[in-house]
Amino acid sequence: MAVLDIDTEVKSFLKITGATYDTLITQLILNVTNQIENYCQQPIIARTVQVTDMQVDLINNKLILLPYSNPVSIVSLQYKSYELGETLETIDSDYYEIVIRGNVYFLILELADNSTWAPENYIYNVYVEVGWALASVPEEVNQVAVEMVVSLFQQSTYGENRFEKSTINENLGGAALNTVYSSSLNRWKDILDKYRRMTL
Amino acid sequence: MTIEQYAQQVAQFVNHIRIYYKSEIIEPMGDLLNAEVENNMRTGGKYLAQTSPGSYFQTRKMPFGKIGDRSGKLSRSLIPGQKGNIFKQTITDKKISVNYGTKLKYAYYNEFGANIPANEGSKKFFWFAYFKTGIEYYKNLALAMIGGTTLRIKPRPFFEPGINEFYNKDLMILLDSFIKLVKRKLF
Repeated sequence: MAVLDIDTEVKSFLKITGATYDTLITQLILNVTNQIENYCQQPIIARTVQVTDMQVDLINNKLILLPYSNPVSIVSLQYKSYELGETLETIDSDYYEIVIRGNVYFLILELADNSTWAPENYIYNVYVEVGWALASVPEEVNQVAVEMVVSLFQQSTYGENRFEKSTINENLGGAALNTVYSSSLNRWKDILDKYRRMTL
Repeated sequence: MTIEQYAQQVAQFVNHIRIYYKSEIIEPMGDLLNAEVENNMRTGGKYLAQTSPGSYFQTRKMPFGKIGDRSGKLSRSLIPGQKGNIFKQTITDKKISVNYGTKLKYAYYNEFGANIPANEGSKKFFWFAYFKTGIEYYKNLALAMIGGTTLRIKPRPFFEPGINEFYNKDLMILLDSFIKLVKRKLF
């Protein structure tokens, strides 16, 4: 899933009309999305993932820490118990809720009245949807993605031809294009650091 | 001029040099050392990341906030004359040495970092405390745990870089103003 809309966010920025460069730009957007998500180690565009490194047993298995800092919603929650053997039991959404502290998401099991959570039960499968819908991705993440795509496009043969500056090494603000990309990397990382997954 | 008069003039000259040295170098030195170190504390120390054993580079950003912004005890202990401060000059015929520092033990942990043994229970406690209180301090402690066995405090050198900045920048200015004063007053 791409983090940017090709027409409204990239082509308008590059002042490109027509479909000549669409394939390349689409590829670059996917590439940039992957780069951003790999750096952040969590989805930016909402998708369902299985939580593998949650911190459980904070209070008798009833408070679970999710390692994501982007918006999280529970898709399904299953537990296993010795009584039920290998059978996985799904917990109804009435019995849990997500509580946010800062940008940390905690999952709390709230069992029905008079019921107790047996210590031998343990949470087995947690599937969550992490990230934003395309339209509501934070502005600063969007801006980083646009800058990355534009910078990569300018470096391509198409970009150089389009600006008719293929023979000139310094063709963007007096600096070589690859220098522009590498010098912006730290700034992009500083912005994206806020959206990185926690290492538990 | 008799020899006695000449010797008296030399003694007066040396005495003047001592007075100027104290007023132009020693007295401002404590304040300048404090200013340079304090400056590093405000920016959260010169945070270093270890790339390989014995090899460090300065990262682009400070991971945590300011150093010594909780009680202010560390900041105060770096001001000459305040409690916990060390500022001592020793002047001999050939050598002048200045000792400057703090007596607070936790300054060491900020400067050099530390690995403190802890257990999985501590980590859970920190997360639970963060859940209950929402205080960022507990979250940072929980995230500083490595594999549930060690609480790692990252080095945030603020003292040594401050001293280096003093050596490279301020000391020359002090010496320069001292020499100018001596030239103006005595020659």
